[in-house]
Amino acid sequence: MTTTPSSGQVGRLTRMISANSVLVALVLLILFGSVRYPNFLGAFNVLTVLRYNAMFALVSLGMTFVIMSGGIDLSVGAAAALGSVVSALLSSSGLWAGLAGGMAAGGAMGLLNAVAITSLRIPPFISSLATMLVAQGAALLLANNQSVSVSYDTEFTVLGQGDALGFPIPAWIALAAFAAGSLVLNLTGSGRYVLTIGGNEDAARLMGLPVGRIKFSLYVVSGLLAGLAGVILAAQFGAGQPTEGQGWELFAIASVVVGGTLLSGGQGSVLATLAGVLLLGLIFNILNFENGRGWISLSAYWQSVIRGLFLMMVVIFQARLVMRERARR
Amino acid sequence: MNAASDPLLRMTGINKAFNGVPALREAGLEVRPAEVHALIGQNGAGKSTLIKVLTGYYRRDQGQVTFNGQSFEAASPQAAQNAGISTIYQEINLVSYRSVTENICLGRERRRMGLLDWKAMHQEAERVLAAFKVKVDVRQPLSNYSTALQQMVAIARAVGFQSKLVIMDEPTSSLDDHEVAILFDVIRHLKASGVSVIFVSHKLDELYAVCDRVTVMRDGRTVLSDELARVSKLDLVTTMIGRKLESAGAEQTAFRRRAHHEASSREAPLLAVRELAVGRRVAQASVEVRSGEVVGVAGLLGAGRSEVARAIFGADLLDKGEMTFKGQPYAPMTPGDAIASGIGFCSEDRKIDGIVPDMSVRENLTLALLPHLTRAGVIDVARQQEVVKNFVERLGVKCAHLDQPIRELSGGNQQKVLLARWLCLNPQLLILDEPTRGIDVGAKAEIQALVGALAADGLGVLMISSEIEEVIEGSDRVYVMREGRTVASLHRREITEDAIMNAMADGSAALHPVGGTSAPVPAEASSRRPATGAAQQAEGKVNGAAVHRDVKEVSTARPAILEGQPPPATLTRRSRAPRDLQTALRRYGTLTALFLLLAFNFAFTPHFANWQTLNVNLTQVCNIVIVGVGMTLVIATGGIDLSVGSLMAIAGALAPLLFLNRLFTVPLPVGLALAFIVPVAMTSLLGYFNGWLITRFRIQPIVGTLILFIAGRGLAQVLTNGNLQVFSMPGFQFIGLARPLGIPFQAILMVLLVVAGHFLLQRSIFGRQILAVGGNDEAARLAGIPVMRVKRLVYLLSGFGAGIAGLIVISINSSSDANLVGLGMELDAIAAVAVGGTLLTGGSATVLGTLLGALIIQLVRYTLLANGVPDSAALVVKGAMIVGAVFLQQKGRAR
Repeated sequence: MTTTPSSGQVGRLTRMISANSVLVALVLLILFGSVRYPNFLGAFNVLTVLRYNAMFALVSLGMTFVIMSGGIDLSVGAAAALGSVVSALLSSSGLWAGLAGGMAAGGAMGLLNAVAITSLRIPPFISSLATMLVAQGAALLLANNQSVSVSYDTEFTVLGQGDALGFPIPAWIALAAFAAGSLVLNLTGSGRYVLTIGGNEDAARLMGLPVGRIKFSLYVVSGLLAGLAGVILAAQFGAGQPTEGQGWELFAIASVVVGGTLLSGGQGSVLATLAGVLLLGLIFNILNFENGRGWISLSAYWQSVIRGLFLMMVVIFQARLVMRERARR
Repeated sequence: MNAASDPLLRMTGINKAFNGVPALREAGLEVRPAEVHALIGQNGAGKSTLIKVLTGYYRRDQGQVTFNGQSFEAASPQAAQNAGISTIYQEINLVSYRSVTENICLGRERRRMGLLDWKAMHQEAERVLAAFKVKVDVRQPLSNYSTALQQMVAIARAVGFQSKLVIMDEPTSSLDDHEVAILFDVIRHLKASGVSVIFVSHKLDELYAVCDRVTVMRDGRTVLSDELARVSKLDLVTTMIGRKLESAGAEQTAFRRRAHHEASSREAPLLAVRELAVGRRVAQASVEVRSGEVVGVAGLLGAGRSEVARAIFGADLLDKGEMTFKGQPYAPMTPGDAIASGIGFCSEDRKIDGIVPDMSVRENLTLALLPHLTRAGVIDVARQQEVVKNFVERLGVKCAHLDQPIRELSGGNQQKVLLARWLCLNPQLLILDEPTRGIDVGAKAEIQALVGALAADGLGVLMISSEIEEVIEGSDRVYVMREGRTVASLHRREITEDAIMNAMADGSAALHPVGGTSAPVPAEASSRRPATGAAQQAEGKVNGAAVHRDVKEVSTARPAILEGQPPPATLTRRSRAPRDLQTALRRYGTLTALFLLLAFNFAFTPHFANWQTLNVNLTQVCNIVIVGVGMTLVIATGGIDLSVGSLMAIAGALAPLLFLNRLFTVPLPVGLALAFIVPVAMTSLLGYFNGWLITRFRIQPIVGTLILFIAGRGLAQVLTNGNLQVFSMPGFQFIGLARPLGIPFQAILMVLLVVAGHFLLQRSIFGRQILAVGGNDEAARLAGIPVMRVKRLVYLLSGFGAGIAGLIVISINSSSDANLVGLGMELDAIAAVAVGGTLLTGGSATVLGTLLGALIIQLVRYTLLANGVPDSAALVVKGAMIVGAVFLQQKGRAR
């Protein structure tokens, strides 16, 4: 017996497009920009966009894994702020001390989440909301309610401002993280377990998968990545910023959703999240260019509106797809 | 006995009880090697319990199991799987978004150098499937394939685990004929390769097509085990659901054979359903019900009975068919339509779509009646009380008090409350789907007697039942359904066990072709047989006063029944004392905490007890509470609203534009009026938009409101071009600065909103609907509540509160900064709601609690600050409080 997907060719095409819609949109946006603005693809612009969006990308990467497992992590923004403060405080001891300290701080917040979610069985939304407050408080305490300047005596700022092989170091870090993330997701059992748990936790248990252990490590990893984003933040702007990061969690969720990862879990792609981050970042970039041309004067504030609209379109598109699938059954 | 026929599996003398109620009594099962063994029985006969005992879900209380020649005891489903027993559950337990390969190989992945070897895994998946002559693209997600193929994958996974025994629980329930044929090929293939199969199904034809032997279970016992070829279909049905042997010849239900119901063909039917088709389960069903008639619907599980009932009630839309009700064409789009026409419906599974578990007996009983119990949207409590008391008395509902949560009642009492839910509407047609399932003997008799009495009063009753006694003794007419079709319509004397069984087995005993009506057999008082059993005692009592056909009569029967049976409610009552303490702690915990905090501060914090300190604290809490009221309502429906902070920014950006005449020029008083009206109207509208998005596209509330969280602040910034708007406008700013009688104006506003919110939630019909939707969405829909509208309105109210809060913030600041107004407010409000004791999963909410929660959070912060702890540390404490509150809540409910 040979069976083709019951949805047929048309279904497969829509599925292809929907699975890669964010990539298609990203390519279209880049094409649009490069045709319209002469400097759009210039090295300066490209590198700036990459440098600035690296930290969002890292936070979104952790969020992707958490959401794929059917959870959510609202604490990433605050954990990044905490990471930036800790790394700034440690930056005088050198690059590695700052890096390790910042990541450890983020990781500690992830650990709090992990314990609350897997041991106390508090829903992820609430757990991570509480952890967010804890991280905010800790950051403010350590920073004494102000930003903490990083040490310029050490190499620390290289992590945010430096280049390697003509490419910003933060972008390298993000790229490495995404490559690793993609590898874990696609080529290790743990990666597939994450998706399985998100798709059907009961089934995952019946399949004998280590559900608790996987969920636990997910939140720790998300915290570590947020801490890393904080390190880059501090290194890039020369200061640990205890009040930065507010709202990052929701923008990260938006990037993940725009990338096509279902918020209900069980499906998703790491690279699509990267595309989602770049897409949302480029909207800002293009607005700047457009204003530079002087044809229309759209304030930079339109970026949020456009991002929101974009998110809405993606979400409605996805919802209709899901509804149609449900109706077919 | 030679080696070849040594059984692969032998289970003997298995006993298993749950809370003292036996589910298996001396049950047994024997499966030979390479045999397909049918396991059948009615719902509750013990099949699944037996299987779960075998696969390690439950531990047996007693009995022996040998598997593959050895004594066997599985500690978990995984252990059973490792031992060679695989189960394929009815709801396919696979992960539909994942690829075919993953679903087959997860848990025993192939690795190369530590990484997954996809190529090898794909090959393995293809190889396993090829054994079943299935060739598919194993890289595609499972959801791309038909249910049959998904079943095949589940089987392939099971076989891939080197199983010796594969258990299939109703594998064909969602397959079409062609797919069933494929599945049977697979089963034969399994058999040929030496694997045994236990096949659970309700479709008898299938059993004969593929099974070798059969075991029939009933009431937890194994009642038959034989070669299938030696047992006829009729025998199967009879052993499964025929009258119990020990009591054959006796009436077993409390149904009074109402002397007669002169259902003549001249009398126009109350309800007529013709050629109904619904989805996969109902192909062609025709049903008629007349007033005063009890019409039974018999059929095996999965025959489509419940689906017909749901379609009549407007819960599912029909694909084909016509209905008339009271002679008029009838096409309900929602349960609300059906209810308005005069139809009530007690659904099959009380827990899934009947009760709203956390609501009280009172609320559950009047859920559908509410629109008639209100004056201007406010519940007339006195009348509600009267109705509830009346029905609780008449139906003999046993509960500690009317405000007891219905989940604490026994099944029988829950069912009575649900019956009362419809009876109080005075319907003309009542549809009962398994009205006495899972109910103790006493309550069962009461409900049956009640149904009889109601029909005698002129109510039309359509009763679906799997209990053959109930159908035979209770019905004036009986329809038999088989695989989605009404295959027989039996009148009066034709209603015999044989006729029903035959129709269920073959569909061949159709005495009356359905659709046509034949002259009713003259009704004659059927010979009464001596009554036996507890139910019969009740029957006797009722019969004693048989002339009076009043519902009330049932209650006269009640004491007799209850004498023999300890009422379940007393059990509940016995354990009430410690529970009351817990409830009290949970209910008043927040209040106590608040008092302790206040007391501490009055005693130890200098300057706390002065007006100004109190006012400062109050002012800081006002906005959170004003937003929190709306958030409480949203959360009560099981939603969440992340957009409130951004909506505050919009309101804050709009108002100055209006009174400073930046948009258009109007006289100041007009501008001021507009500055109050337009922003709040705008945020309310945007709130409604949230609700629309969430209900129309079934988007999770987090994502749905995330859109406005992002775009909303952008809009506010665009409106003001990101500029700080500074102003001094006393005519506007009183909302944040006025101090009538020394009290901050916004505190008064807050109290008003809290009172309004509290009143709305507790006393208005809308509040009940909110809680019902959050407590059990589907039950609410079946009670005629417009679920979507309710959800949209709570988001509107949330937007309304956010708008007001936005205006207050800018008044206090004398400036509006779109970047800052309301920043982080969504999380503050959620925190207040959580600490206040509202369930974040919906269904139980308290607006006053949210006020207390916000006050506690603020007071803790103030206390810490006043005692030299930095504000940042207070954040940590706040986080701990939220987790603590939710943890306690969960512990309280997990009991």
